[in-house]
Amino acid sequence: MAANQLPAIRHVLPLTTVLLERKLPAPGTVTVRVREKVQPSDVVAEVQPPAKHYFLDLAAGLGIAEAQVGRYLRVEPGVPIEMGQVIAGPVGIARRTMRAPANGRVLTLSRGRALFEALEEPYQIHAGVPGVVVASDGISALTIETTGALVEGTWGNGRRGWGVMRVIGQGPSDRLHTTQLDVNLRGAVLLAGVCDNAAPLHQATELAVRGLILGSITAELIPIALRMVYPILLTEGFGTAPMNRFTYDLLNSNAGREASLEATLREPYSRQLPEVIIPLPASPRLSSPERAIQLAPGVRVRCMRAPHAGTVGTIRHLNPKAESFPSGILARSALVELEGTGPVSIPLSNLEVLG
Amino acid sequence: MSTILETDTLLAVDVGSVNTRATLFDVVDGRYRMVATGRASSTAGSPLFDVREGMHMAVDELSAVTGRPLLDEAGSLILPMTTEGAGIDAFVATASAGPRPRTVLVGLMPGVSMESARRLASSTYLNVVEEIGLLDRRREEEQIDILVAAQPDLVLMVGGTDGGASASVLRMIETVGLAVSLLSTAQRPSLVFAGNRALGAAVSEYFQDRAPVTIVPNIRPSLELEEFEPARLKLSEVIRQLRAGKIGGFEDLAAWSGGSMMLTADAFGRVVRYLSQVYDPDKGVLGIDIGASHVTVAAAFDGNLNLRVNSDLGLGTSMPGLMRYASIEDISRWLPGDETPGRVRDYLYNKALYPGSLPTELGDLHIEYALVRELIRAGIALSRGDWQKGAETPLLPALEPIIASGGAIARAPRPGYAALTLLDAIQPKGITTLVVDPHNLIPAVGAAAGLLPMITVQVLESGSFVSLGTAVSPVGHARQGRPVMRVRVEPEGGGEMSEGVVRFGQVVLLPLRAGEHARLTLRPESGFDVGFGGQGKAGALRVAGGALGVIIDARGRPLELSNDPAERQELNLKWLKDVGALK
Repeated sequence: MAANQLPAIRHVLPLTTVLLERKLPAPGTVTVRVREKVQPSDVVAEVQPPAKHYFLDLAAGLGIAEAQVGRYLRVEPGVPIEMGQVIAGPVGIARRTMRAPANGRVLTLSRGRALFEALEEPYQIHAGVPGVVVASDGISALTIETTGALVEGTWGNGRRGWGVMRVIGQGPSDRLHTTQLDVNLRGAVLLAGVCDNAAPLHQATELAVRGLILGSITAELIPIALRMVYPILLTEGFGTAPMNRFTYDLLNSNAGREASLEATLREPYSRQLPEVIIPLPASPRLSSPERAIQLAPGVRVRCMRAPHAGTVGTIRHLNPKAESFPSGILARSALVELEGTGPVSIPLSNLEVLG
Repeated sequence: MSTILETDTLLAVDVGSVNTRATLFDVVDGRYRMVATGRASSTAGSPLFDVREGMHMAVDELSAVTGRPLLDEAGSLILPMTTEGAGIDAFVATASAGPRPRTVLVGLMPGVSMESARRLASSTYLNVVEEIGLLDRRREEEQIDILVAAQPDLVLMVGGTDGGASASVLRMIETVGLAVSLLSTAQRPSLVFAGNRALGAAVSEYFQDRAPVTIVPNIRPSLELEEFEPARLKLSEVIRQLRAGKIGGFEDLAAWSGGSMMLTADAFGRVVRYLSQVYDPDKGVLGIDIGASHVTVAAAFDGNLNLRVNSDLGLGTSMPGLMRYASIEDISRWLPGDETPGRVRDYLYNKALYPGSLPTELGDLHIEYALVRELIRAGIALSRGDWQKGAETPLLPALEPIIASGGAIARAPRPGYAALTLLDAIQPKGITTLVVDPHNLIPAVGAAAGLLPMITVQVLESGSFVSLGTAVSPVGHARQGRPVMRVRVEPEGGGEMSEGVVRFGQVVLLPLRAGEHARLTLRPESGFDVGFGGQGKAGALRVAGGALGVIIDARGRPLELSNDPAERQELNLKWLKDVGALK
């Protein structure tokens, strides 16, 4: 029973080995080697952003036939050149030349024209966590291994940050207010309850916070959250559901430590989840988080949907037959011992494993 | 590969983004029947990114239900069937799961080849991120930069009628070639050329050393003619290969399918087109599939199919896309109770985070099906501009039947809930039949039709699809409570006759069980048209029963909901009760 349900798994682990993938948006250079130790601010990979290309009409500019252009070319295709450097010429009595409009390189010739690529400042990726590089393809992706606490979230605003984690508010269901945000929190990663208005998000920007970890925000705040320059990570979703107690307690117990926020904006079929990593020393080699855990008695689960959204419990047993719920929906279910509520039947589709 | 004569037992697997379904068909009394289905989580996404595990789980469930071993110890399909009765004779697979390839469209004229390219792209699982055309005002080097920056998985090149433009097409090809040469080998996109057939060889030769290019039949062989089917089938193969590069297991499924694996939308469209050739040629057939990541709308008129895959609509990860086409007020107007806009909005975005989750509370159920209504409405609105009939009028053309599939339709708590959702969303006019596909058989039947042509009609006639009933929707308006028409249902074989007057604003069910037929006589009042040739024209026809019997929707067309929230909610609740959607 239930072998045909492979539930989502959300890792909330006090100490584990975390493998963090860093990937460039396009092939470039990985600047660190395998087995090299890195610090959060280290540049680990860089790439030239998509270059701008120009056709330089050499034939017209020099007043020669297309077929003659190769004869007057003064640079090797593919070799970097500086702005103002002569590309082709001189030609004739007037000693006409064509010069590079920017730092870049000539790529190829086509119908008497040179395809010129202008180069810009490289795009860099930082390690984000202290750790050791354990894999690299040399051109676009590397994996950093670190040990520590791991909390996977449900939504992120696409930003990344690093700082000392500070707790604000009275608990996981406490609403975030501007009055809770003062100058002492400048540069910190903040752990709070829920947010249902824009003012605290804007105030956090003014305080230059390094990140915000919340249970929920109301969905109307999504466009604002996406505009914030600091990372925002949600553990539950949208609305006013408090952060589940299990996650809150784990994060709260690490207050004062440095935390890395990977508030990844989830795309369908993306392998990267939004996550909080709190690096912690660990002497023996720890195992990595399980990739998949089947629903079974004794497994800790989190309920994703109302009326028990965000509540954590333990599966008592899997019901052998489909069950009808108050909405009239018929679904396979499990009897879950919910913390603070007691045993409740919940559709298997509404459960995710807290691994 | 199996042949018709050899094949008795067929296993069909459909891989969606939330579920994987396995269906076993067998010959019973000389005709194909669905024997059983198995369903499991899809494993195309996180954490496994490999479709095989989901397929194994679904097939295992099927084996458990039927008692028939289908997989060997290594997890491979037992193919062909053994003398002990294990395994199957044939296998077909369809898939809608997987990332949509980032696609750049490159074409010539905006209103001709580019328009055709857009339509082709919207009929399958592509994510068009950029377009470059002949009249593009950007400089050629800017176009190259755009192509490079788009990081496409696929460049779809069109242009030139057969024997038509060649120089401009080749210039455009050169631009693509220059852009491709700037990308590293790993980044180079797949290239598909669907333009002037005479240039196929030249295009192949040009790209020979740069990137793989697939030449497919011209989608615009002449200015007057647009042909998608041959190109789409080849394009589907390219899409499958691109997905296979990112998600494991697709190659296995394709190998078991004899090398061909259909996209779910293609199989869905094939069934709808076939039905349009079987049913009344004066009416169209409409198929709607509401998935987690896509809303697919297939409309066919006498064999001419219009297929649209709306990848920014879906009852799951694509849910936020609905906000481009509908407001929170549009969604809330279907609710039978008061909900704050904030709660509806939160529900919508949470559905995207947890696409497989189910509404267990009644309030949540109502929001979920309000979303389904707007998804269908948006899907049809985006599609119907290209339909062969009725594109110019606000009401849909006459349709027979309307077929709906997808998780939300399959798990509707009662048939009345599904029926009212479809009536609200589609607002059919005149007389039609509402059919639902609770076992998601359409993709299986569509894919199998290539192997076993007779399977479509045999499975359709076997009762595996559920007819909700014959729906009668008079066109016209009147004051609430005014008579709309007199109705008489005379069951064949001497059942109890029902007769009465239906009033404006009512939704009435007249009993006629599935499998039964009756003579239905309709006498509309002047000002109402039920499809018998004009307003007030009476007529009679033979109709089939269904889960709800005969459904008379006398709310008028187009359906106009009250602007008063309390009155509107009260009516929504009444209609739900009238169709037996609520206890």
